[in-house]
Amino acid sequence: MMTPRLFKQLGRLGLAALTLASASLLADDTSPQAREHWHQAIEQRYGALNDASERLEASAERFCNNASDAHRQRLTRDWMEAWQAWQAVRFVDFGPIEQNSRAWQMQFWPDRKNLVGRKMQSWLAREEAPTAEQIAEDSVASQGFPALEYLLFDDSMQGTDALAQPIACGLMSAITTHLADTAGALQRDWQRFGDHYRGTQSYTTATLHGALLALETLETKRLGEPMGLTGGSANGYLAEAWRSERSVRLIEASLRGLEDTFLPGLRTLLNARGKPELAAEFGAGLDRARQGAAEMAAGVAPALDDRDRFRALQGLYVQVGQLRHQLETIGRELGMVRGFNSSDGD
Amino acid sequence: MPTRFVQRPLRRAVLLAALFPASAMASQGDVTAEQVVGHYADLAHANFDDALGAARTLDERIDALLDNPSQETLQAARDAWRQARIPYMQTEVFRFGNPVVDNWEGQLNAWPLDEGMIDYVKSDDYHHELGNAGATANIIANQSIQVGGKKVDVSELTPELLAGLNEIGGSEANVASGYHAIEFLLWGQDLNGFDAGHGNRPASDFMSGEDCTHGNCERRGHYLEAASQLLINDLEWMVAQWAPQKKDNYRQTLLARSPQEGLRRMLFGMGSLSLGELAGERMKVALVANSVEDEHDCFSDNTHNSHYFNGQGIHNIYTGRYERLDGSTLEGPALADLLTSQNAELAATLSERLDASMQQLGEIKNAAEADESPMYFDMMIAPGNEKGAELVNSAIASLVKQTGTIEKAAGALGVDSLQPDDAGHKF
Repeated sequence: MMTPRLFKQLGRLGLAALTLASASLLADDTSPQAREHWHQAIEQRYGALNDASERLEASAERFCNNASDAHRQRLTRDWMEAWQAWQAVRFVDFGPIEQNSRAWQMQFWPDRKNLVGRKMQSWLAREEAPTAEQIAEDSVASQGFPALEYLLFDDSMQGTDALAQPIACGLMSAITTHLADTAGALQRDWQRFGDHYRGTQSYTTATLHGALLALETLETKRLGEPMGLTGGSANGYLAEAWRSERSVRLIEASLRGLEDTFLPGLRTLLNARGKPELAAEFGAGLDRARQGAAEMAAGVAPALDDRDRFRALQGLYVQVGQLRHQLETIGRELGMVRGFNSSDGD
Repeated sequence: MPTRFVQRPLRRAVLLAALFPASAMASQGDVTAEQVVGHYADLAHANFDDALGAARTLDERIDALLDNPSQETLQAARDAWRQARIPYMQTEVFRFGNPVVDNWEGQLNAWPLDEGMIDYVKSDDYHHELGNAGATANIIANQSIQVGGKKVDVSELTPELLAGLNEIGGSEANVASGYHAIEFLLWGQDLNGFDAGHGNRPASDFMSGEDCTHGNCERRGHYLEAASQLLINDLEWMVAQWAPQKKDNYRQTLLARSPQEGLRRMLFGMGSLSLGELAGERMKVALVANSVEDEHDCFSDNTHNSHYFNGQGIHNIYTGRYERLDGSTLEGPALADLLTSQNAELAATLSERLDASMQQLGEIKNAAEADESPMYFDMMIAPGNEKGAELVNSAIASLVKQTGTIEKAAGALGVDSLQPDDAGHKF
């Protein structure tokens, strides 16, 4: 009578865990040093996101003034770089990013029912393009990189100058302005958050947990689900950036972010514990996985029908799983205890 | 959502604790973890038993509707469905933490669903999961369906057939059975978006001969009967799992484990429903994406009640009190008593937080049930509805706070791992 859902349920529930402050981490006097590292590295990352978002905003305006091929190429590149800049700092799921669902403002995903597409179609059907303020008040599905991806890559936008039309261009500009505003606010708020972050022990655990959750999400949601490895069937629409077929480029950026933003602080913690080899091993694994991803074709969906490309993706999936496992081991070593997680659910 | 930002206990809670007489605290200490877990199993049994009773009433009303389809018999069936949700939504707190419930519930309450797999939909106002090959299969209109590479004979609509069709083609949105499938058959698609109004299926969808609207009325009736029967079968099975004095049921398994493990399952269930499921999936996603597709009871617009009774279920576990459908109350050794004996201040805080959440969920319920210009959940989440957003956001904030306190309670009770039970399976 029962459907065989056990594996999938476990997979889903596997994410249902968060950290509780742990005694051994609290007692560790190297923890402030690690947070010092992390705060600086994350500040740089938010700075890079802000810069990239401003370049994107300028690029959109340039294209709308003169819709040349060169401007379109540059716009596409700036859009991708800004999205990658977001991916590199996406593991930070605490602090200013928690205000006003900012993470979803950057990237509403997964979008199983094509809410992004429907929101864009509804804006495009209006008489006037929205202002950035109107975008700010609308659904998170209208606000981020996937909304821009729709305008740049959706089949319905592939006419010679569909994007150059005033409504479409105005919509794109409003979204890029809102994105740049959000990125700027994030950077400022992160700086202001510094004293509190550095002075609060529990953020050591929170940072570790953010990285762990990022790896879990990467393994099960960003790779496993679209590839059909978590119980359902393969479905390319469940991948990020399926319209532009750039899912793997985003994964690469997330791995790079963990490597240069998360790893240094982790190394500090593990060195103090006399376990530098754990950090070295984790770092080497991150590096391998990132380099592997960099050499792969950019999309997940096209790989579903291509044996060689699918095999390469499976390799990445396994590597990410190992990284997740390594970080769990490190977490235990550091006394991390897991509690509830806001991203749990059906 | 930031459980880490939970504030220190409120001053009022501290005062309450100070007023607590020491003798009362000592007597609370008599409650053991074993008793609390035993009573938890009693609560589950009573709650699932009520869900079963209400499902049987629903089944009778469905029979009456199919015998004599009219606006009155349809309305009576809809009322019975709403009534059936009251106990069922309270049982969801048993879902997380107890594998026996979690592995079972998909067949009863899977959501959101691509309803075009079941019956006709309005093609320009139907938004199914991208890439779902079964989204427009329309089982009612066809003798066989093809989903992906798989062809299935659906000529005879039996409970077993529907159970087997769930997640066909590997998509979770392919839901053939359970409360929401029945809800869709009783109400139909809600085509009103953010505006007032629920699904408006006519009773004539179940009439015979020339009176039948939208075709295949007989098969639609058979489908509804089969789905209703499957719901009863499933609930009977679950009631038996929690029944006392039975061998080899889940209750025995649970009580044979350490009381500490029982407490862990109780707290894990409370926290997971509170934060990830209710505050997250069922409220926040719908609100910040302004997405009616993410409304829980989207056909009937009963979402305010579903949320409210989810909250009530969490409350029940803490207080050890469950108000049964017949109006009687089941009471016994409670988690609250046990926590009070360990940390009276924290116990008072948690009690206050749980009450505050019920208050907020009650505000949503009141707004939806107001006599004048009611605001249903799908109206609250409309873009630009500030009052609606505030109602939903306040409830979310309250649930987040409550979860932080549940985590603290777990710590105080010596439950140091809030991880799901993996039943020995590694993944």
